Amino acid sequence: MTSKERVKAAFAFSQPDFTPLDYFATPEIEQALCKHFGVQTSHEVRDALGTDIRFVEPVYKGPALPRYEDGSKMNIWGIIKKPMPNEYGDYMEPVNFPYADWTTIEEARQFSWPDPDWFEYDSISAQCDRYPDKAVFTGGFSVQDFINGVAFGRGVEQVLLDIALEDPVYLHIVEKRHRFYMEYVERTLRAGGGKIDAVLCGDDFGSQRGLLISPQSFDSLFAPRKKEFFDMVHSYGAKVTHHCCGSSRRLIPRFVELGMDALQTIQPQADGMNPYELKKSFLSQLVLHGGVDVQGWLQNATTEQIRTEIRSLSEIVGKDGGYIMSPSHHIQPDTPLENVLAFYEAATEDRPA
Amino acid sequence: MSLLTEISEMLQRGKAAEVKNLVQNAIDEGTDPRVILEEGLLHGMGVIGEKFKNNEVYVPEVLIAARAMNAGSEILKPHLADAGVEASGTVILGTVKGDLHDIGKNLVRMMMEGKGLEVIDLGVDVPPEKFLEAALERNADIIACSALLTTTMTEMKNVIETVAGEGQRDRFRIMVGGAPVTESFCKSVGADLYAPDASSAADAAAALCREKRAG
Repeated sequence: MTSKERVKAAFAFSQPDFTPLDYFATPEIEQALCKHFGVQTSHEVRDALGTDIRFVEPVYKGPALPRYEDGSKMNIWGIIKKPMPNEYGDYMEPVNFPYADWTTIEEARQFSWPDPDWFEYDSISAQCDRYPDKAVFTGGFSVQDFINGVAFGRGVEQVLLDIALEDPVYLHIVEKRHRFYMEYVERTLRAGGGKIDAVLCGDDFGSQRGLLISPQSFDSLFAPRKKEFFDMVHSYGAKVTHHCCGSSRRLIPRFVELGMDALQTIQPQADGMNPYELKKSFLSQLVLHGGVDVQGWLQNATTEQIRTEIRSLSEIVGKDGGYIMSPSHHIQPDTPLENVLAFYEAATEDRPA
Repeated sequence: MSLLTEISEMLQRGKAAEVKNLVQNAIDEGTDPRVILEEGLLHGMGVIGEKFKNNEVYVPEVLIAARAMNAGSEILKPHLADAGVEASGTVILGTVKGDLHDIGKNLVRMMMEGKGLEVIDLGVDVPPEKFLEAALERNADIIACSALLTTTMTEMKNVIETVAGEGQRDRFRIMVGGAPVTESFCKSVGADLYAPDASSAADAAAALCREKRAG
């Protein structure tokens, strides 16, 4: 099987030759891997690790996005993130909160929102052709992202209050994000001409121990927008993999009903998110994309423990398809390089060179 | 329905303006401010805390309930001071150095205030010395540290070492919490207490303060 066939088999709940493999890492880990393999780019790191998925994306050609001397930069949503140093590297955090003071929709309307025209889509087809045998994905955690994406501009606490009160200013911003990503992703898929296999989108609905918001809030504020987006992606013959941090267990039946094909992260330490147990409960209903615990486990396990767990995930969770092995979030910078390598070596050890 | 029950129920539904009015009515009727606090506001917040622990309500509902409690507290505070009512304990709270995530910490603050504790919230990215400085200044019972990232939770050890380094380890109880924090992590860094959620953290803090003040 080619990588593309392998990933397609996983989505079709049919047994692939090997469990398909994906990769997410913080910049610190990616730099360490580049250095280790003597390569320059994320694509080359993926080649060296032997992963099955490559990402394509439209090229930004919009207004210049400000960058600052302290390493801060602004994204298309007007949010400035600044690197906050920690013992192992840094973590980008929002600092300007441009939507925080808005109390009327009028204020939200006057903001300079991004336009799908700020991107150039013509190169998508050629990008896909670079990886004819790989599964081609587009998108990212920030596609949709109605809670975090708005919280970066308005504050987490305010957004959660907004959700409880169904605040009109918040809902206006949510709709702005929704319309933008509907158009942006649709243009990308159209330009891909059927060569894009799946779209990654996301929203963090879980905390470590349960849902972050009530199922009722999910139904009334987010479910219709999820459905519209998933339907659009499916109309181009592509699948949806949806990032969701934490424990989203109670929403999984709704996710399936809305047409979500795969759930990405599967953090084993979050309540109800053990991949072995999810496999049993949602057999052939939802593809599990993730499952390799980066919340302390990958950092502290011995390389032998890592090999054992990777083989076990591959054999048990990967049985009859329905599983794309991947770190349960970006591999964090406190992870020893030898542990990262042990993970990927074990995941590809049976494959022909 | 009694006025106190009504305060508790409106608080649970996050109705800030109603709670504020009802508290004022109770004061006007001559109800003991301590009773308004305990049987109205803290009762309501206690119910929300239990429901939160049991996944019956979620963070947004807790936030609007806490907002309603604050609206009521503002009115009640001067009357409590006049009646000589003091907080049952003082907690220094913050997210550790290098970490800007604060929703978990803020929930802990709301739940602790809902137990009648005084909480000094130092905010985010708090260096170890600041935790100690505030604890000494406020003569606190507890220092509580929060972190979301595996890369920043190691800072909790530095807080404990800083407190111990100044010979103050026995004076304060130290609590740790946050998504990647576990009971075994708590033990390994030498903290006194870990709680898996904000409501349990508030229960534990209230119990610690009772024990500490009892003897």
